[in-house]
Amino acid sequence: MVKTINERIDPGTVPGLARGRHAGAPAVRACTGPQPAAAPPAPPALAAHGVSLSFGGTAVLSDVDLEFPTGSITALVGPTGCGKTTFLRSLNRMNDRVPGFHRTGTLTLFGDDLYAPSADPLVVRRRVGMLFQRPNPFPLSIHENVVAGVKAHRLAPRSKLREITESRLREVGLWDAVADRLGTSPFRLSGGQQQLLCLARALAVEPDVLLLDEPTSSLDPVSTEAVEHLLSTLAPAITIVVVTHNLAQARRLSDRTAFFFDGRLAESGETAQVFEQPVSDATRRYVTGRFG
Amino acid sequence: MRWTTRIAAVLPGLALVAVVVVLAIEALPVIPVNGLHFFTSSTWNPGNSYSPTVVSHGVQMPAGASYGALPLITGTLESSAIAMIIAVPVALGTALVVVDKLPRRLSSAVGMFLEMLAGIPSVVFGLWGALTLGPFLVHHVSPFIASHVPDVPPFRFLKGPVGSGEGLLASGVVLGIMVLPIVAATTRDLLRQVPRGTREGAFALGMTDAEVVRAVDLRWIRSGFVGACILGLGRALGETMAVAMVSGAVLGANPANLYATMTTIAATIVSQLDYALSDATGFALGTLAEAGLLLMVISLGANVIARFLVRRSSTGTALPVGRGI
Repeated sequence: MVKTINERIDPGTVPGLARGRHAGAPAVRACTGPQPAAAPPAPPALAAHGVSLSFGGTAVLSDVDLEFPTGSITALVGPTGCGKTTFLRSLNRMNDRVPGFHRTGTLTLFGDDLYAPSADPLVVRRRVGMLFQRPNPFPLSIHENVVAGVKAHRLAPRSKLREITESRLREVGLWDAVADRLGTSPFRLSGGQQQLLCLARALAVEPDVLLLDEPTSSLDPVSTEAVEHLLSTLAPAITIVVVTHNLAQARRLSDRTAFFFDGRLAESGETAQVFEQPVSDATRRYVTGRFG
Repeated sequence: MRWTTRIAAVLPGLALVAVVVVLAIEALPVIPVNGLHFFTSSTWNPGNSYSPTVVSHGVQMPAGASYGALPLITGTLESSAIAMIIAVPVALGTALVVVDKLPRRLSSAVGMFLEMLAGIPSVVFGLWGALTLGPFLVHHVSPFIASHVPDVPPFRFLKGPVGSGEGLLASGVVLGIMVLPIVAATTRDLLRQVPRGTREGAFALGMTDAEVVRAVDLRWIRSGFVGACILGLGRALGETMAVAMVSGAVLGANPANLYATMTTIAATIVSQLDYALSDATGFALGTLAEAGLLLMVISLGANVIARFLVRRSSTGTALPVGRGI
């Protein structure tokens, strides 16, 4: 099994978000967990300060302050239409492609402004990966799916691609199922296997943060458990933000929970605290199943 | 009611059979006379209609008649190839822009123009080609190409006298413009079927627009796109009027270079029909029927090859949609 790229490169290199995707140095940030105590306190993996989001003048989310500590798993919960998915998608600048999208406030990745003029959205999206509600494998072979991002960002020489495929598929537990048909279509895999393949594809570009938009809502319980287990093993190395409608999942999986309600962040904190001693009345009613 | 539907169901098939049978009946007697010579010779000589007729292979024909369709075949293939070289990339680009880049109102306007372009009668294209495009090519485009390509074998075809504006290049360009809306509109419809989520997944990996097109869109529409191109190729191979008007319709020689006058199977059939009907032996008419059969075989052959390519290319990565043909 190949070493992950984090182990191979000097953990001291912390490139920013500037353009130059194909520049010589590997544009990979080492995920070393908490920084040494001597340095000034390390900025959180992701942070939002006074963030408001709108589409075509209609406000979706107002004045969100939220931090995602490095290595944590944060669940974003709330009723449908509360803006949590919009918020998630602004963390990797996917909303840039939506006409009429407007944002105020700052979003930072390890202290770097995600929306700075010098920040390249392509670099942002490589460092902040995303898994979607429905599995969305590319119409390529299974192998080509896993390394599609690696090839686009030229993260590894061609000769290493097979190894990367194997190690990533092993990482998500799909290797034994597909080892003998890497050249075939991913559309013959089950929904759960396709989602794991998409996860392998997202992990292959070595993201620092992984955003998940209801990753298990289209999966059966067994596949859901597989994905959840996997996420919990990724956590210390990769900061995870997961939008979910499944409160039990949020509770099982996350260290921290943020509750969005009516276009605002109603409450955030340790998951246990948000579920057991919520401060906001809306949170209490939501987590106890009174509405939503 | 039952009978009308049955008749409606079998009519298309009957029409196809009738066309082929009539062509074959006309062509059958002359095929052995023309022989292989028909495919290898460049001579197109209807013979002397004032001399007594002669009999060959039991078929009456004017003395000295000799038909070779090689220049027609090469002219057809070359002009269609130029048309596809022009139309396919432009059509793909148009379709990509219309589907993904333009605001909806502008994109529907471009779509409307594409459909209007497809609806222009070919004789109008022919007029435009003869009056405007030909002179423009000969003054501004052909001299530039001819003087800038290197004088080595694969490019030597692009060198030489630029002619009068009627010829292979003008025919190819006109055909390309006629094929463009067919390929573009079909490709646009195919691209609209590419699932949003799959493209989003590619963007979320940090791919550029071009990389998303390569990894997702083109793969998704591949088989249908080949089908769209064959649809366009079929139009180019069979297009008659416009080519007859801009090719120079010169029989008897393969085009020596990109700018030389030439003719195609279809253009020859239309330009020679009048004479053929006056040939009392019926030999000229039979020869045109043979040429018509040949054109059908070429078009069908292109279709079969395309289907084969599609089937082979889709065994690796079977797609849920996009099996256009």
